Amino acid sequence: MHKPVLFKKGDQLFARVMEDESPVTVVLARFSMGFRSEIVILHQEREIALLDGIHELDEISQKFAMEELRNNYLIPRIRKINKAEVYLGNRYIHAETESGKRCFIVKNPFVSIRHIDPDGLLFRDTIGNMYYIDSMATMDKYSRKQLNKIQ
Amino acid sequence: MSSTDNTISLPESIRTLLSDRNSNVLFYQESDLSAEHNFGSSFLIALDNKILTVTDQKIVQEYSLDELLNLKNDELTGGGRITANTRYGIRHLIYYSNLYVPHFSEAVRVLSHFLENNRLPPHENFKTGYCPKCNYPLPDRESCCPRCIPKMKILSRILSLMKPYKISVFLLSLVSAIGVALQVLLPWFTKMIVDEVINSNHTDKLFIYTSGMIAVGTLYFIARLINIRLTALISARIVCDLRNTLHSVVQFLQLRFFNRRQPGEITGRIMHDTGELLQFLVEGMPFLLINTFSFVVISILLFKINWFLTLLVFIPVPLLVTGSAWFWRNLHPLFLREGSLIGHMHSFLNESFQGLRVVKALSKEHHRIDQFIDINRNLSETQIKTQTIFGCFNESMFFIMSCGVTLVWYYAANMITSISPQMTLGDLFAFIGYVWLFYGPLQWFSVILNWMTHAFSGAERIFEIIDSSQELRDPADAVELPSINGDIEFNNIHFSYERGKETIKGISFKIKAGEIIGLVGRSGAGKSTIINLLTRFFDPDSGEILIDNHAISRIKLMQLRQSIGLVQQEPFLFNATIAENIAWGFGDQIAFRQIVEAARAANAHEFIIRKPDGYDTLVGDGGITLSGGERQRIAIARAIILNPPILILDEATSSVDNKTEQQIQEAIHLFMKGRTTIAIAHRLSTLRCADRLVVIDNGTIVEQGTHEELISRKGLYAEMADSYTKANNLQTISWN
Repeated sequence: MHKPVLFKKGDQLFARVMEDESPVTVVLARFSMGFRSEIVILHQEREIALLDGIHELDEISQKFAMEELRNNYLIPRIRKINKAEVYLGNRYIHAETESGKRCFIVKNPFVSIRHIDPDGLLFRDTIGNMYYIDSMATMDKYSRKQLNKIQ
Repeated sequence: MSSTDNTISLPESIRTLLSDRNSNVLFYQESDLSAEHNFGSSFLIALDNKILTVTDQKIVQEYSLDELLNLKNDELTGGGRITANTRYGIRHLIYYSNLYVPHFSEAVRVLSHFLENNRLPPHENFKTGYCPKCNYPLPDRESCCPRCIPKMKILSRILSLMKPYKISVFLLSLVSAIGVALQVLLPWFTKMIVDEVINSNHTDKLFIYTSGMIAVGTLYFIARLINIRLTALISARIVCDLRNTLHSVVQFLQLRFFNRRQPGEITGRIMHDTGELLQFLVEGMPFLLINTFSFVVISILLFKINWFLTLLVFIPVPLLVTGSAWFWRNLHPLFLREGSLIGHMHSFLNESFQGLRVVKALSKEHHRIDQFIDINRNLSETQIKTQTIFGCFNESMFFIMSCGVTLVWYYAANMITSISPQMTLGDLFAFIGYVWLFYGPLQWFSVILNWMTHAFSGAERIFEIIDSSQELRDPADAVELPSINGDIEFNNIHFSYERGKETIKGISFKIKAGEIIGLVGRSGAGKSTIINLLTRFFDPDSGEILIDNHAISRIKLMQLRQSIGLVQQEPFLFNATIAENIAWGFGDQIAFRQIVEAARAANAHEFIIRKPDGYDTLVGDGGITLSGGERQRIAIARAIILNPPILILDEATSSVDNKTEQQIQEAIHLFMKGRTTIAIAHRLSTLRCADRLVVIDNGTIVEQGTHEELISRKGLYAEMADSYTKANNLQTISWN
């Protein structure tokens, strides 16, 4: 199989497979597994290639793919939980993320908080925004305690 | 925030940035993400002749109107962005989180119109998603802030539920007051027996006091029984009324309400939230009433007996109150977790029983058992913690109260044994009796207050349903047509399930009475939405649907819906007999012969009479005792029993095998004659008898015509027909 080569024209990502060039987008096949997992290159919602990871691409394509993934997945990483509180069954989480501070609401923790590999958590708030903690083990004690209060 | 007015509501810094341009701000929309996707704010701004984006007080991108070809929203994970097709290629203009999806969908609509017509259309302003009072996020844009819900408003609304029972409520209050009065009399008899019988050796008075004690005790007992009966009666009736109201409200709720809610959530509100409110009304409310009253009365009595000892009694009160609040703060998350875990366990068990065949087929019983053990262990560990803390709470409160009582004993004993006694032994006995009556409820006040908060949140959720938008049943000028022929017209219909995400984008087409129309398109194209609009499950955002030249919004809803026979992909049968399901909701109004005729027309009669109980066969939950084809034919019989002039088949045969499909098709073909029929089917062969096919894609009509016309046009239909033929050939090959 020929590996696609990625390049950009303006903000549009393109893939070249042999002589064919087409506008594409890059998505994660299992997004909760993070950027290290399989990626799919799509042209108009049709698959051009399914790769085991970004590493299968050449170096420049990797850079474009990574940038595309960052643009397509607006899921900030949580660094610290400043406060967790509950009002009428709504769990308010005040978090410091790598994109800035944010307060969001989670309703049912068994539906809205999912474990992700290896010991992280993925939060889906009531309006569909997502946030993740990549490792609970490296999270500070205070943040863990706050989370424990609402799980 | 969006505006078309002027620059006034734009931040000062951005106004300054744009001040040298000598151009009016026609429209702007603020986003919550910067160009680097950080939380902050950035702006998409339309000037007289330009569209630009501003982040961190810098103009990031700027295009004159003639450089922009079109704009679109890209749906991303966790948000979206506006992408512009420019003369220089694709450009991503601005990113936003999910909070701003409706705002930017509207922005694209407005700006696209601006690009085409050089003027702005009227547009909608969406709420921000944050509470204007406390600035905390709202659970959803339309809900009220859980932090700022006015508790007194909810309390008065709960109390207003008692209106129909005001006589019983008055009696309850009276009996409660009598009960408190009798309760405080008992320690007085103790005092009299100690002081006037034991200490003074007046044994002749013993009979009087003990008789008095028994009389007061008996009256108190009767008052309590009446109290219990009245409380049970009032609270159960209120909750019964509430459940009836809720259930009837749910029947008439707009289907939009269910879009983002699971059926279990609604059931939870009807059963759990009303249950929680019931518990509060039965136990919490009387507790608060009686104990607040007795708290005041006993405090007065204590002061009356001895003011100094009463001050001692008050010493542990702050400790009791703060201790109780502290314990509750620690218990609350545990109760919360326990509730979530129990809910999770219910879901797990439900899934276990429903998916038992899959588990067995994969030989994964042990995997499932291990999963359950994990959840169960989690729950039991939480319960151990809860019970331990709860036990500690009880014992600590008792210890604090005992300290208070010990203090009273110490000083009272000194007072009694001093040279000039300030109180009698009887006073002390009565005092101690009152102290326990005083302390007892105190430890529970904070718990009850918390309980009240829970009941209030339940009540709030109940009121949210009651206050939700109901279907517009019949406007004042609704008419009942003498008859319905079945001419249908869709006139520039726009519709969105979620505000800002349009599903139907300006659809117009006509269907003549008696015509058979096939709606074709990919999944999610909007076919079923068209049906939902015709049946008025939803009303369009704009445009009009006409039947026989009358807007359906002006036709009485009952007539409209009874004129449409609807057969869906997954037929729903009620847990009743086959006959009851066919004539569902009409009971005796429909003769048995009519039921049989409808069953015959639906090709169902033969299989029904072969069953031992015939038309009286119970179909079980959702029709579980019948096959998919049998269920579908009963659903068809139900749809056609009223002889409707319009028939809608929404994937009616997609979940049955070929032979059953053939039987159903025969039934449908017979019935379709002379009726306006709209059929949706993935199997294009199902639509071969259609007079005309309407091809829908992305909420718009892309093609119309007969099968042959559309094939020769080589558009979307031809593409779909080609894929269908290939898939069919593949199926044939694999079976061969």
